[in-house]
Amino acid sequence: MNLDLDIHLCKGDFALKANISIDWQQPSTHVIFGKSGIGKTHLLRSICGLENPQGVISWHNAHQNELWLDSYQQKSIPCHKRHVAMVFQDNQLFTHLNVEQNLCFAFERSHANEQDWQHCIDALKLNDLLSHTVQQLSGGQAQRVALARAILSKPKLLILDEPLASLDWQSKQDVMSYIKRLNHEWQLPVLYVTHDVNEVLTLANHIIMLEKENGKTIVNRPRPLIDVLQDEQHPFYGLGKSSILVTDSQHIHSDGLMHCKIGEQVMRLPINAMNNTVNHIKGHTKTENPLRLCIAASDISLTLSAAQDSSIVNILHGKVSRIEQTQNGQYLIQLKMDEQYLLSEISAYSFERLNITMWQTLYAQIKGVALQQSE
Amino acid sequence: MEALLLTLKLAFFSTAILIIIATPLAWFLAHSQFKGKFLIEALIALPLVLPPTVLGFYLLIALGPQGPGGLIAQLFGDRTLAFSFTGLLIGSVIYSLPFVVQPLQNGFSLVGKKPLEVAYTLNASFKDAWRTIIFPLAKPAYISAATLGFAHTLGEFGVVLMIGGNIPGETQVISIKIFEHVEALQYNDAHIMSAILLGISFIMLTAIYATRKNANKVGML
Repeated sequence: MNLDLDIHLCKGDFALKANISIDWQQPSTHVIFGKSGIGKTHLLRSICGLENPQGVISWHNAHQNELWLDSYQQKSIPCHKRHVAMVFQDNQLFTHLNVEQNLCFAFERSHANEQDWQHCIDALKLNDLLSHTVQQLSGGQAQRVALARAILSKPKLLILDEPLASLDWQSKQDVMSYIKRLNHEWQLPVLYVTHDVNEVLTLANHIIMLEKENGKTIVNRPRPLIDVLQDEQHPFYGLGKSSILVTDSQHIHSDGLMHCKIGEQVMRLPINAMNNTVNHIKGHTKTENPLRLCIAASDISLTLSAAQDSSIVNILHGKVSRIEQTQNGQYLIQLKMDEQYLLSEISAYSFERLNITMWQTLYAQIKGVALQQSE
Repeated sequence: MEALLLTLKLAFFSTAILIIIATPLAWFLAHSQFKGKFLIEALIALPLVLPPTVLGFYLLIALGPQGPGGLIAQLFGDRTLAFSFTGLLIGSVIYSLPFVVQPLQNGFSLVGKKPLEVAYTLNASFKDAWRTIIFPLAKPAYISAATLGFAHTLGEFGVVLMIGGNIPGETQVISIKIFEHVEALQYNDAHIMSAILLGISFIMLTAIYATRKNANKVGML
């Protein structure tokens, strides 16, 4: 799938220029990143047909080529015929309809069938919410409904415009877990807009940067995230070589270490590494508040089996979910553990020696952990 | 009785025409970026401040044999639109226009353009989105607008006096009839008719404020 943009949008003092081709080899996520107010929303509105810029927009997939906009020939396909769904920051559910009716609005106007409906309701856990009014929903629930509504409209392209920006941390994690599944479970190509670096690292396959140049907003061509993270010129340089684990709960164990539960696995951390947070935890000896642990990719080594004779206390296991070769010849291996990811950087030599393949189970030995922030 | 029926008929048709005219006008005023918008707004608001006699006087000339109204009337084999029900209807529509446009404009502003755009992204056409989203969301505004337009037409006096004359069954509306009774010192008849008008107006305004409260409760506006 392919979206070609060659557009120029002027609105008062604001000007935006985009001459790029966005390519989804398979359904994946392109993140549009830029400062607040730089014009990300204008770009999206142009794509889905709510703005009419000058220029040409076309959409291609295996079966068809569609010309959405050609201002030189006075041609513009209206928004409702482009089949681009959008999820907004402030969910924008229809307030005069309940949850089920909101979903039906999309369902009745798409070629989704009963099976799609059931799958969507189940996957987004909406069964208990169907009869709720929109006013009864929490922020996270409302965003889940908005996501389901967009999915049920069976779009060619799904645009998410800062969908997590107005949610609290807990709801963010919840909604994020669903957003991660859009590509695979619904085969949807996604354009995701954010100004949050964490969201970029979690979701992006490619990244499209927006920058100001002589007062004009320029849309840069998409680049693979892994490239950007390796590029010393890029503001994201180095950011990606670490992973963030979120604990489910933790408590101070009788062995004097803090035991952090991550899914079914446990990490044991020395209390002094946790400085202030520990004083806070000590009082309760147990807390449900999640902690975010930041682990550098270079602090993780991989083994094929769980070493019993290692000095390393923390060994987590996961399945290989991504393999990327970095520019300096190293390999970045991503391990998937339940819903969380670990990133390990190993040498090409180790990579060959261990003969790593996708979805193989590996053991990650973690040498160092930093507490990123507590919630 | 005849006067009451005529008044209700006039109010009903005026309101129907007003809703049709005011909907696109109010939508335009609520959402357009057009720079000269304030001129149109001022023009529509004029009947709020003009003495009805001034409006009535201009209407009399416009509808009369020399005015555009007269020319149209001549096409249908009539001499003038003044002193006819049609003329009265035209006068009412102009006179009550701000009472219908303004609540609708406020309603549309509150609803905003966003729901319409969201509906577009869910494959709904303009017509579809209007019917299923905007109209239901703006329903309280429509109720206010229709009630105000209706009630205001009921109470019309000055304009009717100027362009309607006082023809029973054709242009003699209840407010004029009351005036006539008072002049003839028939206070009893005037009492009855005034009470009817007071009752109808009060009931309708109560209905507006009651629905407004409900609308807030469901967080609609």
